[in-house]
Amino acid sequence: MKKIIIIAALFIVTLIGAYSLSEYIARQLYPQNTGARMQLGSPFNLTAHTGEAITEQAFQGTPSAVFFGFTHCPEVCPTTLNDLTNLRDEVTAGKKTFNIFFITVDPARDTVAALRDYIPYFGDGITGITGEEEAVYALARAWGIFWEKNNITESGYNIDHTATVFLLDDKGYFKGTIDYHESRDIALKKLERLTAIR
Amino acid sequence: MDRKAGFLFLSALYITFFGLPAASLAAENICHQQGLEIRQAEIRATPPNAPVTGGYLHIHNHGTSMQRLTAASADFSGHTEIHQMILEAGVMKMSPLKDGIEIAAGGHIQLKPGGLHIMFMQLKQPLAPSDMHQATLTFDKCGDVPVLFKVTKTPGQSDSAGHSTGHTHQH
Repeated sequence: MKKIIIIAALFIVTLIGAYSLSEYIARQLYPQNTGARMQLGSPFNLTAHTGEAITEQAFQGTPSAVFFGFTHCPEVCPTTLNDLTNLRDEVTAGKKTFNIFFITVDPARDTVAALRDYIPYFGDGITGITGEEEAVYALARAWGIFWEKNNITESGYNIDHTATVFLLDDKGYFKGTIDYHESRDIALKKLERLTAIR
Repeated sequence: MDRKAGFLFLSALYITFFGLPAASLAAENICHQQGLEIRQAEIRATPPNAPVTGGYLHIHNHGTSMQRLTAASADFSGHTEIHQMILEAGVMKMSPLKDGIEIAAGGHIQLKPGGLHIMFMQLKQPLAPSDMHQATLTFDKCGDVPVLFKVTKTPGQSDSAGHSTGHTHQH
């Protein structure tokens, strides 16, 4: 009987040890993706619509809704920015809020000068992000964003692009998405959950 | 002021106040006879530095033959196309419809955010909420139909409140 207890105890200790070791190794190998926490994108050095420098530190301290778009976008971009500010006003009624980030996929046309007037049109608490073309594209790639110029005419071009809104918690970890066709109720619930995380 | 001048003045007044609306009504009536009804025409207000925007509306075809919207144009836009948008694997894809949009006999289509729309490009002026702007829709059988669009910040919203509201097509 005593033997069985010792064997069982050894077995449990070994299990705990193995689990701890694997967790330790995982954390060493993937420091950003421990447990259920996942970080999207990559570190960056770009410019906000205000002209100030901006880095991934902007996603720290307050939850974020991150959207990729461009100013010459006739529909999905203005719709998404309007929806997000309206939803935020509703969520903010409970005093907790989130920041909105609009990262351009059209750095050639979306200069700081172009974003400076465009972004505040949709309300406060929105930060436009642009910069050197390659640096902007590198960030979009790191987020797994698809974009492609189409309908190219003498009057310009359109860009097909990923229209998903990414939600990050106040530590910058990925918490979920909002799809373009998602109902307002579901989007509101997701944002309420996002802002409730502490 | 002699009588002739007075008559001319009154005529001018009459044409100014009644003539123009009557002219656009007449154009619409031609199509009305063919059973075409256009409702809730809206254009999205333009954010600063955005020289493109979308136009949305309902087209009812109460007639007995198919109608096709083939083109659109407007004084405030240098180039106008009829577009469709499709969300594919999270990617919003937009493309011009070269054959236009069919409205089946007895049918109805809605151009709305996220789907079919009239794409106004090379805008010559910003479009502000509550402004009214005229555009011309061209149908294969009806020809040119002037339509008055109301500029709104969030088009298509009145629709969710029911079809009884937001009848913006007025003359």
